[in-house]
Formats: sequence, C-alpha cells, structure tokens
Amino acid sequence: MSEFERRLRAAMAATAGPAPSGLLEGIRRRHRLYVTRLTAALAVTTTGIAVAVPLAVHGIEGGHGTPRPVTSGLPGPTVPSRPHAGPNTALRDCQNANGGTLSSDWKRQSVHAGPVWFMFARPANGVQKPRPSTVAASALPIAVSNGHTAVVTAAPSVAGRFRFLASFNSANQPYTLSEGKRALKLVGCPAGPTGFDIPASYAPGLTMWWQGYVTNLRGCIPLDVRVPPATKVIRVSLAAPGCKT
Amino acid sequence: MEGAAKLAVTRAVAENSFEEFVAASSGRLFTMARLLTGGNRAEAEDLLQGAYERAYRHWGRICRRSEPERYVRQILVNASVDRLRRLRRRPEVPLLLDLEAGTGDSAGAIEDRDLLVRGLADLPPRQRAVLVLRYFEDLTEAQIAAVLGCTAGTVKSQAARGLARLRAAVDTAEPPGVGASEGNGAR
Repeated sequence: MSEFERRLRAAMAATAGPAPSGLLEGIRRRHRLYVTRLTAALAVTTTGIAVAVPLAVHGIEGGHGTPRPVTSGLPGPTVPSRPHAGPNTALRDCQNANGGTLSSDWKRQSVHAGPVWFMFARPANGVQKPRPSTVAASALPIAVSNGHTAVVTAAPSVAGRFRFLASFNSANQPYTLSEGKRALKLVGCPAGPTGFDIPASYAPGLTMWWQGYVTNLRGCIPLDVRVPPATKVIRVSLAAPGCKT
Repeated sequence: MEGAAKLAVTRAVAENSFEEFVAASSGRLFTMARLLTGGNRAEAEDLLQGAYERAYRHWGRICRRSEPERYVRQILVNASVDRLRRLRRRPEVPLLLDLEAGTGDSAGAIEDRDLLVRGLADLPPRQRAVLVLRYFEDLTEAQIAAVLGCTAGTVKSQAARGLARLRAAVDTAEPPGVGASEGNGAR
C-alpha cells in the first residue's frame, strides 16, 4: 500500500462518527410511508383490475368492429347489464356501438328491414364488395333503431356459407368461416329524445355498428331479420359481386 | 474496535433484533454513507434510513443470514451510485466534513483529510464506491465486485483510475499548511 493510500485510509477512518440520533424513528417513519404507499398502490391495482377485467371480457365476448376510444374506464351507473347473446350469436349492443357520420343520403343507398339498416348495402350500389377469393371477409355498417332488438341470420339456403365476425380488423386478415357466428343480435341503445336539428348524417335515433362478416358467396347475400317478439322474418339482399337484384 | 463491532452485529443477528442490529452497525454504515455522499450529512442519513428500511421489510429473512450488514451495505452502495447518476447533471458542491474524530490532530492533518475526502466527493460514483469499499470497508476486489455486481477486473481498473484522479486532485490543491508541517517529499 502506498503512502497516498495510507493517507486516504486514514482520512476515511477519521470521518467516523456516531450515527445520527433518531435513526430508528426515521426508519420506522419511512417504513410506515412505504406500507401506506404499498396499500394505496394495491388498492389502485385492485380497482384497475376490477374495471379492466369486465371491459376485457366485454371486448372478447362482444368484439369491436372498429376500435372505439374509451372515454372513461368506469362504467357509468346508467349502463344497463348486457343482454344475452344466445348460442352461436354475435352480440352488438349500446356498449359497443360505433359512432360516425354518414353521407346525408345514406338511407337511399341502404337496405331497410324493420328497425334494422344495412347501410350502403343496396345491391345497386355494390359498395360492399368482398374480395374475389374463396373466403372473403368484409364489413358493413349496420344500425338498429334505438329501443329495438333484432336478430340477423343468413338465409337457410346459404347458412353454411356466411358468418358474422365477433371482431373485425381488416379485410386482409385471413378469416375463416369457422371463426364466425351464425347469428347477429343487435340491441339498440334505449329509446329517448334525439334532440333537435340533428343532421341525417348522424343517423339520429339509431345505434350503429361496424360489423364484420366472412363469406364464400358470389352474388347477393340473403339475410333474414327477426324482430322479437314477432316471429315474422324479413328477408333482405345485400350487395356482393355478381348481385343483380 | 472493528472486531468488537462485528461481534456486536453477530450478537444482534442471533437475537433477531432489528433495533440492536441498527444500534450495532449504524455508526460504521453512517460513516460509509457520508463518504459515499461526499460528506453530505443529510444525504447520508437519508441513504442510510432508506437502506435500513429496505432491510426492515425483509428482516425475517435477512436476519437469518450470517452477515445482514453486508446486505445493508450493498443497498447503501447501490443506492448511492443510483443517486449520483441521477445528480450527474447537477454537480454536487462538496461540503466540509465535520471531522469530530480528528480534533486532536494538527490543523495540517485535518486539512489533508478534508482535501482527500473532498477529492473523493468529486469522483464518479462507481470509482468513489470502489475506493470507499476498498479503503474504508477493507473489502477485497472480489468482495467489492460482488457488492457492485461487476467483475474483479472492473474493480481493479476503477480503483486505479479513482486513485489517480484523486491523487491529481489533491496534488493540484495541496494546502500550503500541510506541506509546511508534514513535508511534501513524504508523499
């Protein structure tokens, strides 16, 4: 060890002094603070999980046509309990509705079946065109009048060739028929005053969704609409390549 | 005295008493904290409290170890390195140490120590930690490497650089009083 190192060692040893008074109290105070923070963090985490799990389950079960910005993590007290979807049925309700503006003449270009609107799906428009492949996925806006419930299925003649997708991200995604649901249950938001002077492009009084589907049909897509409790079936025909109706 | 302190620490562990452990080890660890913080008493106390508090959280497990002081020392060193890294853009202003133990020494010796400890405070955090562990705690290079989580080679190079830097700092700022009373040639 050099002289310099010896000096350094001596200098360090010379700094030795008694521990500060109240050290134990300080440690205990700090520990209480730690426990308080930990408890608070646990409470926040628990609350977060309690909120996130129902939202995640909601997303998995109901899916989302187009991701919707969540404005609040906490469901408000006015949000009703979710309606039951039923077997092999995709559910769309007020909680996963998509907003958005439409062209002002959307009704002219849409297929109307009771309270249900298949928007821009009038065959003459041919707006919704599945890709010419074996199985094609696409999506269309569907709306139902507020306060109404409707169930949509493919017509029995094409039931095995058309499915509703619980969630839809892109037509480029390789969906298969087995991924879809045979039926689609649409539950509109509660009926209520829609306000004055709301432009038609906002589809006032309607609850709207961006609904994905997958099909290997060429031509028109026949769908059956039921509006419970009525048993009457309304058949509509949606646009697809080769549909001349 | 150091052996007595270690014996006291071991006894405290045997009695599973955190308070006794603190009482037995706090003097030495506080001095180390002061060296690591460049003599800043408040910072040192804060660091030490934090290290003890973390040990207190897991005291049931730690006290069963043969050397709980080593655990606290490791927390202390790592916390000081982290703290100094956070403060890297805000250079510290080293404070004069209140060298209670050196009151019987000559003024020149006190100034010399003060100069060395001030120089130590100017070192980068890891170099400072290496020198404190080496010359205050008397740890081997392997032990220092274990505390800092690096290789013995890194410890060696950090110690060499730290010493060289410290020597240069002391040489450039050598107080005339020290040279007059003890002789520059001795160094």
